[in-house]
Amino acid sequence: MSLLSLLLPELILIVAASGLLLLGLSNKVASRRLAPVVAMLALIVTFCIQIYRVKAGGGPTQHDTFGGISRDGSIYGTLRIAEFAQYIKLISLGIGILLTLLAWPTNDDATGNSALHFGHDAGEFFALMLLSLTGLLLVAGANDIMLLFLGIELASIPTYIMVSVSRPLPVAQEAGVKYFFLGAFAAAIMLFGFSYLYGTTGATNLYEIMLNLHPKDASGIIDWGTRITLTPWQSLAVLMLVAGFAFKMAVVPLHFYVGDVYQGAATPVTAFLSFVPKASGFVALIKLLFALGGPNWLLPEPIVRANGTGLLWVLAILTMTVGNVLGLLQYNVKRVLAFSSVAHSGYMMAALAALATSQFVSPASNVKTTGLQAVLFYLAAYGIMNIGAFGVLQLLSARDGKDSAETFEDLAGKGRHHVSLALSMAVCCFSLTGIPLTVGFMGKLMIIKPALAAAIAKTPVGMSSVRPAMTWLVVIIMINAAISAAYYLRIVATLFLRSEEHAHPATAPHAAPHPAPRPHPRGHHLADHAHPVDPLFTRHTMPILLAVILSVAGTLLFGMIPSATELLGNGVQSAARIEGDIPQALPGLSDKAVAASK
Amino acid sequence: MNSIASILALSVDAQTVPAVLFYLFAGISAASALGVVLSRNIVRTAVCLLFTLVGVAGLYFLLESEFLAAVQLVVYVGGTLILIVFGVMLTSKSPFSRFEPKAGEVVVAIAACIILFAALVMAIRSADFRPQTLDTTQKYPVVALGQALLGDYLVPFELASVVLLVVMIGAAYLAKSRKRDDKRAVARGAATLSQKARQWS
Repeated sequence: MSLLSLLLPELILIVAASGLLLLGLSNKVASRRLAPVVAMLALIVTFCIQIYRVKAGGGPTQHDTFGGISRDGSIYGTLRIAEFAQYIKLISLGIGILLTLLAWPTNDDATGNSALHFGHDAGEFFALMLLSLTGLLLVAGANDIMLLFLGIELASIPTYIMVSVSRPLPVAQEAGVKYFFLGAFAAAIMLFGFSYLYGTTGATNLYEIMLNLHPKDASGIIDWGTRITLTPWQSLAVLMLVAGFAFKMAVVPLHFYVGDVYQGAATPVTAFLSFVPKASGFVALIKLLFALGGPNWLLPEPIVRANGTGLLWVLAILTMTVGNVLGLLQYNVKRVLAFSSVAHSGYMMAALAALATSQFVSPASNVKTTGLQAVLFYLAAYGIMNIGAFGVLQLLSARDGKDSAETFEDLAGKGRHHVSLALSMAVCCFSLTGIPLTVGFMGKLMIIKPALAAAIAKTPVGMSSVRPAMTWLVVIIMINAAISAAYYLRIVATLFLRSEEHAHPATAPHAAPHPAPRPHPRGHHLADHAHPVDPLFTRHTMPILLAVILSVAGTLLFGMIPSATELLGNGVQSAARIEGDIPQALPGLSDKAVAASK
Repeated sequence: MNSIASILALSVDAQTVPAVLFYLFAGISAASALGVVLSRNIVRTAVCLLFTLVGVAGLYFLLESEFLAAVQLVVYVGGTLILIVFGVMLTSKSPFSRFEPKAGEVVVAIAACIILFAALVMAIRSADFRPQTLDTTQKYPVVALGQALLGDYLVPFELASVVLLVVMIGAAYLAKSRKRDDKRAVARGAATLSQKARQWS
């Protein structure tokens, strides 16, 4: 059987994107109205396929030389679809649906919504969105550094364009150009790293790289129990790769673009940026770490040192702290959410840092499994709860006649008029803080679990203790959760407690003399029209509202209902068995030709 | 007569020809690369770059990667270089525009080059690159390449075309002026921006 059917979701998305590009040739309102519908249909179909696949579980180990696709236990080919990939694809598609809802055009001529203005180019905009998601899906299944690189780029390049076209403002142009140049720079560093990795291991297949990195005995059985030592050139390759991924994940010190780009992009695109490139970076990093550490996650020296510190530990602490402190200092709510997304990357890095120490603590502490599960769970949780916050920003702006509710002044007192929206924002903010009964709390719990387990676990004889490093990690996560509470609660407090009159006169929008807003001839602003009914319930804003409702419902559902949490947890658990189906005694490389000829 | 033939046979053995050719191609590459850097005239720079690329293609021929050499000639010499020349001619005011680097720039560039050179020398001397064994049994190595592209590497191969499509859309998008209905929006955007700038200041 050909395994090309495993690529069905990606193929559907690419075909839909091509169709959307053709649709974009038409200038008619009807075609613009159709564009998000086509994108949504494609996403829903692929999401259903993905749900079916995840429910059906893994199949027999198989490799298809036509297309180089393999499934489950097979290690060959450029694309390997196993439980890990299926899970990442499922959450990406689910969150992709919410992101499409956020970008739905709400004005009469369907050129965008209050935050977004793609003019006549709705077809192209949604096509780019689908292509970026396709990139993420391919990263999830990539088993080869070439496909990994191309997938990351396919996930990133459309976002550069989306940022620039998302609204006709100079800030958006600036953001797009900045993002493009820095992204190209990061991609070059990443590619340089990949080239060294290839040069020093002689393989592009991630599993062959893993085999070549690990020592083997005379009969060709790989010794997975030994921690490898990287040569200087391999360390350089790893450093450059981590730097390249760090840019996509917005991890300090490669986070500097985040503020300007997230602020300059339209709100739905910002929401997109805070999930898709970040997820592709994390998935790629997990794949790299797995290749370095092998099934037992015995990560080598610069990644983690014998006392528990190391590259991941330092990056995690820096990212959490810098992100949260910068978030505290921001005046613009989108910038707050931007730096909070940096901080959330830091939490996920903390789980990876704990995972890296699993080799120095007794296996009974389960650091290895809980570490990877935490990252996968948090990725989904962050995606779900973040969308609600951006959606509320969009809806509030939609009804107040400004391009977007961006500053705290824009939000001041809005909670009194739009109680339900403000409550949704409150739920999302509480969840992002990590307050119980929300999915954010479960996520934080899972992040802390491996670090805490490593901090209290017994140290095997003859190893230095990772206890101080991990204890500090736990303490710093807690401190950072407290810092983040300050600015998340500031958003909620601004919504409910401040009144618009109390805004600082020098900074309040009505104090600054500006030309009276001219109504856009085609009705770009909802608020330019007189609304006889509550605009919350207009036909056009329903998709955004639906996204907010789904996000809030997901946040509460996965946080409160134990069976729902368990469902997600089980998915994460099976996905985290990335090593589970790798045979401990892998066939030697010379057997590849034999396997391929079959 | 006999002695001349024997001298020729002696010097032209299997080892020498590749060595001579290597030094020839490497010399062409290095000398024309120097020309690229030292020439102030932009068209001369482009012509020197042509010889650098041809020299590298010759090195590929010597390494028995005929396909790579052909691609080097077709893509870089035939495509990219022509594109560079066209770009220069279409964008610069005169086709013979000159580089006039400042003294500071020269110093920085030389320093960067020395560091890079030192790093490369160190890398090449100490690197443990695993040599890939060439399958010399096949008559046409390109066959294997084609089979790999449509076999194991089908997905990256096709994905590369999707990425190129996206890049093309992006380039067309960012280069085209948004003139249809967006002038007003840009004007309004600028007004909003200046208003926002006042807020932030």
